[in-house]
Amino acid sequence: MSDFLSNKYSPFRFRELSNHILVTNEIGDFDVFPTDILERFFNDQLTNDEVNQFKNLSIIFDNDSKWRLSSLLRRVRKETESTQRKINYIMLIPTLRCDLSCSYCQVSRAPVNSKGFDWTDSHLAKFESFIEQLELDHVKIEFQGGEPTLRTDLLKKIIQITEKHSTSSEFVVCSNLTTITPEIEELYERDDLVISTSIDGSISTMTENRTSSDDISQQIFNNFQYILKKYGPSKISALPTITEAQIDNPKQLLDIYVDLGFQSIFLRPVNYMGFARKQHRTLSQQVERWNNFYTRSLDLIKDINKTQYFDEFYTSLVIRKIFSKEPNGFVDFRSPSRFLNDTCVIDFDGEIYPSDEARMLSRIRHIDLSVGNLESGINEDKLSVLNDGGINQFHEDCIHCAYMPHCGIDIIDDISRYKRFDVIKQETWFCNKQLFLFDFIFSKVITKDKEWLDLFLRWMKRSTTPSNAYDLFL
Amino acid sequence: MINLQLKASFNTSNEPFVVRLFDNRRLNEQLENDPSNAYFTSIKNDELICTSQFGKFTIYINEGINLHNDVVICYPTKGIIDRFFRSDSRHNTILFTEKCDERCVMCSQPPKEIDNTWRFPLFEEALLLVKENSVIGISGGEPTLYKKQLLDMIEAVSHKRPDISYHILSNCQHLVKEDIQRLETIQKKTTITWGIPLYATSSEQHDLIVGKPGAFNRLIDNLFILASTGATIELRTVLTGLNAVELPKLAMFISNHIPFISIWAIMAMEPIGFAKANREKVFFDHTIFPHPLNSALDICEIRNVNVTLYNFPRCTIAEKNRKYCAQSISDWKNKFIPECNGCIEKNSCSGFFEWYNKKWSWEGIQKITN
Repeated sequence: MSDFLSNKYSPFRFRELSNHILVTNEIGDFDVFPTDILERFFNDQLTNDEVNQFKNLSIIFDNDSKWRLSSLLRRVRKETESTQRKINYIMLIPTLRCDLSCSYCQVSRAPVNSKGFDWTDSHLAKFESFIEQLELDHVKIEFQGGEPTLRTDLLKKIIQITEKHSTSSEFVVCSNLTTITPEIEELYERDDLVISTSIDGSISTMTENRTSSDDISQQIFNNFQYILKKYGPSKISALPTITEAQIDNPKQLLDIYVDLGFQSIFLRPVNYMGFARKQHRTLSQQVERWNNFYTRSLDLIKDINKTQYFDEFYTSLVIRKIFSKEPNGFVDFRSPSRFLNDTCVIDFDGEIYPSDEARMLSRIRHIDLSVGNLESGINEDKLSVLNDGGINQFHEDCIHCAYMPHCGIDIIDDISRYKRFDVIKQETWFCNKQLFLFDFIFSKVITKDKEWLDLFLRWMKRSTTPSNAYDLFL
Repeated sequence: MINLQLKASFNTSNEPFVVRLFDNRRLNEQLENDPSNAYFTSIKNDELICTSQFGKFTIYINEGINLHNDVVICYPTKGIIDRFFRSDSRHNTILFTEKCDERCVMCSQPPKEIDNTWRFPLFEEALLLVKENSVIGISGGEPTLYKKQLLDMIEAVSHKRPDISYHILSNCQHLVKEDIQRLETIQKKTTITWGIPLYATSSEQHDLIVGKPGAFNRLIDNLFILASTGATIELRTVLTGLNAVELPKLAMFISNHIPFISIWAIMAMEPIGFAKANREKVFFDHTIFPHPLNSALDICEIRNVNVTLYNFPRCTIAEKNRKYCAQSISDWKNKFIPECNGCIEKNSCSGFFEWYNKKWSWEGIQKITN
């Protein structure tokens, strides 16, 4: 420790942006300097104010404030230390069958009448003993598919088992909402259950992407309105998947979400997985096209906020991570990834995956990313191989990036697009998407763009009440 | 204002002693023959005649004062008793020492170079007699100037009275790593909250306010030591003209570096002591310039810092932030002023310090009516 304390500097990172140099420390505290700062830093020509700025960033240390190093160490350790496995989110696929066949179906669903794609009684029994040894406290179970409502009988049994082996529980049914039978409705009436569905845009977009039939698309909207009216807006949420059908017209998509009464939208690019690999091949490689769509959308969202609260899920997640220091549990966007630390996916055949995307990749036999199954439990060796790759803090392409402390790492996405995760990160879709978003956010900070900063503050507070907490930025 | 000291005449030896006052008109068989008690049966002409194992003594009281179950320290040669513990109050504080190594520019209780150590055994004796589950404040001066005696006292009392918890006000200058084990042991037995003042984010500013070079860096160093013992820490910031503008930065500093504190108390100044002498420097009207305070509260909300406002009358705080106001001013030194008449939030308001006057008046004071 004494040697450590004699260090005068801690590592820092920088990036030129908006005619300034953005400097970040090991944990993501940041400040902004003139463009010649690095030259002057290394030639010992900093002004006193600049020295203090670097001291406040815990980049330069002096003998009087040794606590700054203790503080930095504490924060880095808190961010990166391994924590004991405590599963609180389980995604289940009771059936892979589905009555729709979406163009981008990332799980390559099974036809609705096929056999052998559902959980059996033996799966239920194994699931029970599996979660029993997880010693669950509060747990959220998300029913994915396939279309889970094809098997309400299984859903009911799984809910029963979960309630028996957890201190408290809540449930999400991810349904395409083509059908609401009395059996399904009986489930929906539960107070501890919410519905998540897919709405990609207008009827014609829905038909093109998902249903191949305007009648079914209309039925989905009718069912959506029915649920909304009967149970209120907290009962149901929706996600779009952005394909060629919407990428040039963000306004139409956003208008639909506003009209449906949403206060949030998660603009999600089509993944390079499942059916999408063939049907949306070009789009899922054009990151510039995505970034262009994304900025246009954010500008429109800024306008929507003039009259109501409305956030973009991913940007506000990133904003909260950078400025609110809110821990995020999003497994595709965190570092260390800590696969299977708090969440897991159990497939229709009992295989266990670290994320839904990992399941998708394995399903098309691209790679087997299962890290165990209900029968034999978790394969810790295989899991640790994945986890070793899921740390940007040690990754040679990430450690020099100014955004490293704010960013995550998504090796599953890398594998899906490039068949390996040791590709140069700067050339990946994930990295370019992330860099673009971070540049967008920090350019607003550097230029003190009040309109945007006010919006960021709203998203941090999750309310429209004005705030003058500008010290969060600079 | 409640008197914490009462005149008395003694028919006892000259040695100071500690008793619990007991109203014999309230029959309670268990306590009736407790040698710790001084019994009184009647009040005549504002004189309370007490019988104890130390002899008889008479306390001169004002009408309406209730001394039943109070613990008092009696000083026969001075002819006074100290109301060490008032059983009907939540604000019982031991003035452990009046010495201090800091000279805060707004200190409400300016330090004095008086040797108080001879009272320590009396404090210990008195603690053993207080009501069950009491919270005892320990203040000064700087109590940890006598760190060993302080911890000895708390530890000794904890063996017989683990139910008592403490709130210690300390400038956190005198801890060392070697204290960690001892504090851990004590805090396992007894609940202690450490009230520790931090006024700014730099040594330049903080040291200037507390009048001690090097205080800031030592304070932060020691907060890490204290936190490592699992201590409950209440960080306290008195809002003055010298640090008001800095408040949002302080909120950032706390959330970044010392998020392990249990609560951050932002406190309105007590207009007495050094504050009175330094009014020009320290007075700040947060009703005219509310931005720094509101911004700091917003940052706390966003960064998940548990924050509270002490000593701020509710009408001086923006409505959306009144949820942070605590009813904090001790019962023996708070008051309401004519402007409070008809205010609908008076019952939940901290009111004003007894020594508040026009000179310290905030512009925004007005009764809340809706």
